[in-house]
Amino acid sequence: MNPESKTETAAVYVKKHARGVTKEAVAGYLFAAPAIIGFLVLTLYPMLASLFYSFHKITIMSGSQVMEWIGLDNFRYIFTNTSSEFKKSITVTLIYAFINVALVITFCLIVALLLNRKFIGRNLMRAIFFLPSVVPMLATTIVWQMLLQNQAKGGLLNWILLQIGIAPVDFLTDPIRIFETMFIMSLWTCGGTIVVFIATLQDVPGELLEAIEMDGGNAWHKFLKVTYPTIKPVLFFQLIMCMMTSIQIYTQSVVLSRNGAPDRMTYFINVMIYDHSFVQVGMRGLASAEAWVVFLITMAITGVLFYFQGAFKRDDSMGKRKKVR
Amino acid sequence: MAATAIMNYTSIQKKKKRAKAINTGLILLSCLLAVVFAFPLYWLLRGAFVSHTEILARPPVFFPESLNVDNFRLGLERIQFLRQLWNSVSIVVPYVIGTVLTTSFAGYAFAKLNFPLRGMWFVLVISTMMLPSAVTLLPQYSLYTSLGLAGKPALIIPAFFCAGGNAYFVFLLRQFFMTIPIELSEAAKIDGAGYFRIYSRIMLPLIRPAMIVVALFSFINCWNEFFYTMIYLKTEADYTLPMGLYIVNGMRIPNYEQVMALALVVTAPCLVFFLIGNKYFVEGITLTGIKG
Repeated sequence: MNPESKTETAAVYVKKHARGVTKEAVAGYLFAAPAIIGFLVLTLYPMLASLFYSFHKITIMSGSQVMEWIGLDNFRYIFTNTSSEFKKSITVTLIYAFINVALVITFCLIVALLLNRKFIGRNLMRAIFFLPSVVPMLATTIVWQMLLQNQAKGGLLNWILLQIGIAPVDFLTDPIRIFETMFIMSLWTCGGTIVVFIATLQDVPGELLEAIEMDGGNAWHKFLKVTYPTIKPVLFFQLIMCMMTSIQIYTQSVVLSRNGAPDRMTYFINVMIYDHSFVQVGMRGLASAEAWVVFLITMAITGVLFYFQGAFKRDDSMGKRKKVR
Repeated sequence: MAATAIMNYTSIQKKKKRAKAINTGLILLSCLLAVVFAFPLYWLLRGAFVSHTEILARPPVFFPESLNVDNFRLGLERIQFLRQLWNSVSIVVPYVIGTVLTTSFAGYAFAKLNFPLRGMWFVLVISTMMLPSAVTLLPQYSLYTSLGLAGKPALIIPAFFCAGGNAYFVFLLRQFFMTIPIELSEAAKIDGAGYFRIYSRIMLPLIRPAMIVVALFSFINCWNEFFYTMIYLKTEADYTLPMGLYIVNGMRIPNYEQVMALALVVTAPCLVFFLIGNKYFVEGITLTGIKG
């Protein structure tokens, strides 16, 4: 073999190899293209555009948008105008979100612990708890509306309350009670989280639980020392996702009340931003500013949640879990 | 000596009995909760089949004497049923196809193919899960409007770009692709198969259960969508079934038994798909919840 052909083969090898790498890179980008384009065009661009809008006063003149630069006026209006709708809206949304997250996570955990015991009909039970979460939110709201309406309109719960001698409750017309109604519906549709928790509880090492029992520990010890550390990553992930969905509550409000009546108690952020963007005229710039403030607030909340639990690891349990097919 | 042994024995018996009692109590409690959970669905079912006088009757009619199917006829007459059904279906079908196709592409790319900045793109795509929809709402609307796509296309297009909540599925499918051993695709590569061939012939058949999960969930999500339909569907001719239900429910005289019948019609596909794919649903929600 002469040296020339040797270098040639090396060159061919390098070329082939390099081509192999680029080929894979090209294929990778082609396969990921929809997701990447989607991110750039349907998320990143709208986000930046929204930020741009938020510095403008947007009016619609003969069908087309006219933008007028007003600097930080929209943000100033949001933060200084004490009677601004935004303040009420963000307050009720955040109160709803925090209470809802606490309720949903606690409730789902309790139900999951209940259903994690071995008994006949456990699978049926799991299906019953999960089923409501596939029902369209609209239908859910309508059914609960039927159950919670006042007596005259045929609310069943109020009739039952009356039978057992409790004064009827204005679930849908009292500013505070309508909040409770939202929580009831939210709990009814949280089956997905229950299923997730049940699956996670199966990973709790039984031998450790037994060891604690041997040492005379009670159920609380078991939960705190073994169960909680095992389910913690999933718990926090569910917490964050629940927070995101709670902040974006919409359907329940528009079905049960108009414009967040009574007293704007259900005038949630998404309802308000929809209103400012598509119903009221000349509010689009303000709506964009509001959306950005909401975005920053949610990012801050998520950031705090991440900060307070260092163990948000996704991959540590991956190898162990055998449910992947 | 023997006495203490007997005492120990009885105390253990006592403890066992108490544990058993607690266990029974907890099972009863879960049964009670399950009844509470099932009741609204039963109430929906009942409401769809009772007569007009029965729906508001006090004491309430828990089991209607005769099943009244007129509610469905009358309810469907109040909306443009066939038109709205067609609208719903014509949005859902391409939506599900788009989702299954492009999320599996992305899942495959992010799991199996090496390309520059892969990690960054993956994190960016996945992070859209945590973005409140309000931030992108208006510019998206303007974008679709300026392209003349505000309407049905605006509801379908995101599915083809892994957008609008579908980042979840990208993550789910990536996890599935990661479990497939690399040797498999390497063997195929040596045999001369291209990347698309490896994806379609080797990978897809192996992740079929995950694809079913994605299809089921994207169906449910799209069928139940309300917020975006309210924004993009302006004319009554374009309304979907849930919007028809929303309008009838908001009428001055809603005729609750007809509303219930309509609500049942809107819910039925979800219930059917749930009953068929119960196993996949539970598996899917478990996986997305844990790893998403």
